Amino acid sequence: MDYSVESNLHELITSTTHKWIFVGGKGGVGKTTSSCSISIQMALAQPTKQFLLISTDPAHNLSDAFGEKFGKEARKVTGMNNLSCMEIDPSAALKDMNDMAVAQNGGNEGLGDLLQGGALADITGSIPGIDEALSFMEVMKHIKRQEEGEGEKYDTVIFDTAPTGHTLRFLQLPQTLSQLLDKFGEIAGKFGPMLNSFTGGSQNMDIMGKMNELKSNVEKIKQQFSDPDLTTFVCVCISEFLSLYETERLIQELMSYDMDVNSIIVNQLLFAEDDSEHNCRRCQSRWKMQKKYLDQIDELYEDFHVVTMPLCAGEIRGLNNLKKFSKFLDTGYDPKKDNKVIYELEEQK
Amino acid sequence: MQSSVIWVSIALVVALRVLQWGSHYRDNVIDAIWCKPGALKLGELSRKRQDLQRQQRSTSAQDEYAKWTKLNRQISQLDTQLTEAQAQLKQTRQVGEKALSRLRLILLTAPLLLLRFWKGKVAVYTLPQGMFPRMIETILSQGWAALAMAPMRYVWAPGALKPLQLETPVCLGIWIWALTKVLDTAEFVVRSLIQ
Repeated sequence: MDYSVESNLHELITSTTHKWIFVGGKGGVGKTTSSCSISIQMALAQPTKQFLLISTDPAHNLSDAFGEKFGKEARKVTGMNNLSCMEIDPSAALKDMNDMAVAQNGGNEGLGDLLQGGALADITGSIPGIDEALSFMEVMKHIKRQEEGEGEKYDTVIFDTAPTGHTLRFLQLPQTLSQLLDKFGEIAGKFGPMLNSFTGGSQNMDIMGKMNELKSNVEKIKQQFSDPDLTTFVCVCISEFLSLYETERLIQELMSYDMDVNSIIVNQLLFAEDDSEHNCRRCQSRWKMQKKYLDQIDELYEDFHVVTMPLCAGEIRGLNNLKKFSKFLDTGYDPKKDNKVIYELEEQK
Repeated sequence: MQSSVIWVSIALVVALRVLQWGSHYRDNVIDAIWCKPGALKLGELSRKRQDLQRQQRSTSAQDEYAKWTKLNRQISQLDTQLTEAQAQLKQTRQVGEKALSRLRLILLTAPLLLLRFWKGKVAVYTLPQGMFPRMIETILSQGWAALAMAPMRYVWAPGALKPLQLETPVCLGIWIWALTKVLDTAEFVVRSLIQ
């Protein structure tokens, strides 16, 4: 395998400019392991900075990967001073919205009673795309906090995303919201005072003001997501046709959104020819198939950092195992020199 | 002058009717004048796409993944170009249709309308006397007022009736209307016979 660019993520791991890093790919290829690995390596390489790893996948795995519980509030990983994790919980976020709406409604009968029953959460909770919308709201909240200097400040946010389709929908949100707000702005411009009166005399919401604020935040996000110095997408795949084809589609789609994508992690590789002790016929056959696709990846993605990672004998869970595994993202994995590590992972209880 | 007006009217009515009968002419004219370059481009892109698809079908996605994917990328690019070319062709066609409608309006419809207003009262021919009963001829030549004024004639000019020289002209406006109706009826008869 001959790669014209470095076959590691050293450049990304030591980057001082990136604020948003997305890690995504098909289901079951190792996104969570890769996103945890990238976060750990970045935190170790830049100890003076703060990093936040957010899971936008409704089927969260961060807690399982690190072996400790994370929630909707960011919490530091045990053993790391500058790495925090967060799992966005859509139902909890919706409940918070519901409670806020109840508080704002005050003594209003009818609507207040309805909301207190959790009606808002029930209605909105099952809307397709609500998970992506809530993750996006989290991003906007984070930007707002950074600008206003509130709360914990994070230099880089790493996203452990949901499988491809959901992530693409999430990334389309800035564009979709921007268009929606433009349309809404036109309508509100014509019917603004009438809309304000719908909300009730005591509330007096300034719809136009809130919309403009939301629009300005969305525009900021759009700009940041299309700046290659600030945002990048790391694709994770395995060396099989379906995964590679989905990766190809993902990359094409990301390019159409003007999002920078120049790194691919190819996981679960067997490197059977370099493992003289454990080299069954099945592994040989599978490795032959993987190698065939790896050679094709070289031809297709000449300008990409293509990082090859081994399939380990055990699960990569817990901070220690993740540290051992993740260093190959920085230095690259040499199957001849480094193959001992795949048998050295500690069993997680 | 009068005969030229009549001939011009006949020409305009017949031309409009012929255009109506040959309604498919419109698409052919628009295609020939406005849409040819766009259609050629679309055809070329479609041929290229078909070639690439043929190549892709003969390539194994698993054994030659890189080649297959590169062909796929080219096909996706061509799809985008095809969509753009189709949209452009549609726009060009709309421009052509608009231009053709405007041309028809200026060259045929408007002149006919002007002719009806401007020369509508020109007499195309006169009906021979004695064709209709006297009372009807009086109304046709002198209007309803003549009928109302008829009893007054006996008061103002008593005595034997002098024969009236009544002319019953058919004006251009009515004649064009009649011609259009005749053509409509002829068209209806022919269509019924064919069906």
